[in-house]
Amino acid sequence: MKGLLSTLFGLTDEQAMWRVQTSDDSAAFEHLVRKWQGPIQRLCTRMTGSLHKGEDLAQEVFARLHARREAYQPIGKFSTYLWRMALNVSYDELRRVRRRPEGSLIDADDESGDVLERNLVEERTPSDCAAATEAADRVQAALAALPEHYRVVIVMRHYEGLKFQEIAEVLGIPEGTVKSRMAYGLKQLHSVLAPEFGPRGARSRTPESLVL
Amino acid sequence: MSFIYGESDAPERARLQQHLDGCGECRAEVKQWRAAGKHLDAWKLPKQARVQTLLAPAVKWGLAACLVLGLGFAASQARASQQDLAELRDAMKAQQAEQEQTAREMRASIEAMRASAAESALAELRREISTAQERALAAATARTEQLMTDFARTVSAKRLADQEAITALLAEMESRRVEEMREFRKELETVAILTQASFQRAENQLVRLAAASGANVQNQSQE
Repeated sequence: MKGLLSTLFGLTDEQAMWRVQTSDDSAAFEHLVRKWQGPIQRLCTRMTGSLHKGEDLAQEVFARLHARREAYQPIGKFSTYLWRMALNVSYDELRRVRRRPEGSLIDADDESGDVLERNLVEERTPSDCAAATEAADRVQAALAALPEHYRVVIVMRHYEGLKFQEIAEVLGIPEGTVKSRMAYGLKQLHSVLAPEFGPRGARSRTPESLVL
Repeated sequence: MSFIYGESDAPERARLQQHLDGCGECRAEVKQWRAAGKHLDAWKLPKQARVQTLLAPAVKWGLAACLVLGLGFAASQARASQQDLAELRDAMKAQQAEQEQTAREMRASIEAMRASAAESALAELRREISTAQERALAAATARTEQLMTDFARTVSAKRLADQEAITALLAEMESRRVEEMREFRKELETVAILTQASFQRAENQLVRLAAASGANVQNQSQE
């Protein structure tokens, strides 16, 4: 156990997962968590539109990863498996929110209380500093309004930098379909966001210059 | 679309660029896509994952409890040098009570962990369990040897057979303690990772484990 961490820096995801699976290696698991925590959290945040949910869902992803370590099959990349798990967890959450009938009491652990399609911005607390500009809120809202299968492609390609081929593998669809969904998604976003931002998008980033 | 995101190779890029030069419709579309991309950039998220604050008190408490369990003999060391088998039995009973108390307090600590099972708390917990266990095992081994030596010298049981029985008993208890400590550590790690519903199950297991280790003491002291 001692000194193992120092050898882990050269470890691939697949090797680390192998150690987790075969010898319950907690240092290897920790290595994976530290490496993937950020991206997974961001994906879940952008898919659900909520920073808090993103954190909770990411926790769930790693808990599942650990719980299912024995059943894990090293076919394909570890990251593909992890992204898929994160998406499943996010979709489950989105479905859960949608199932709640309109006008029901606000869930204790759901900050927004609105049906997702209408819900745009969760109530912001001072700690949500990163997303606390109006421009960001509009983007968040526009993405939330986009159907999930367009949203996921945009989040993975534009924000997490996955290549189209990788996205295709995660989603199990042809690369061409990924690209066409991307094109459609960007077009939709443009039509939703462009009028609000005015002719020059960059101008709107500072509050004083927001077009009313 | 590959073009926009820099995925096409040089010849492909050249071909596409050439097409764009001649086609106004495609140029407009590319412009839209790029503009949308710029808008998307307005939504930034922190690069590092946001981690909740460490449950330092609860974690430290859990460790203290681990040490107590592992060093079960520590409290009774002085008492174990007493010469009467009956007194030894009493000492073991006291130890059992202590361990039950520890189990209760561990449960409270686990409750606290459940409230905020954060990844960084998990990592620290793991590190500290590892250290604590190593220390506990080392100390337990040292103590057992000391204990057995003391006992061999001072026990007043006349028959050699009794002496040997008691020594064997202590050795067995100690190895069982060590094993339970390992199990406990594993359980604790599992607990720290599980989701809310599972915390309850793991907790029950831990309580049973603690009770079982207490029960072992009870059984043996009656032989």
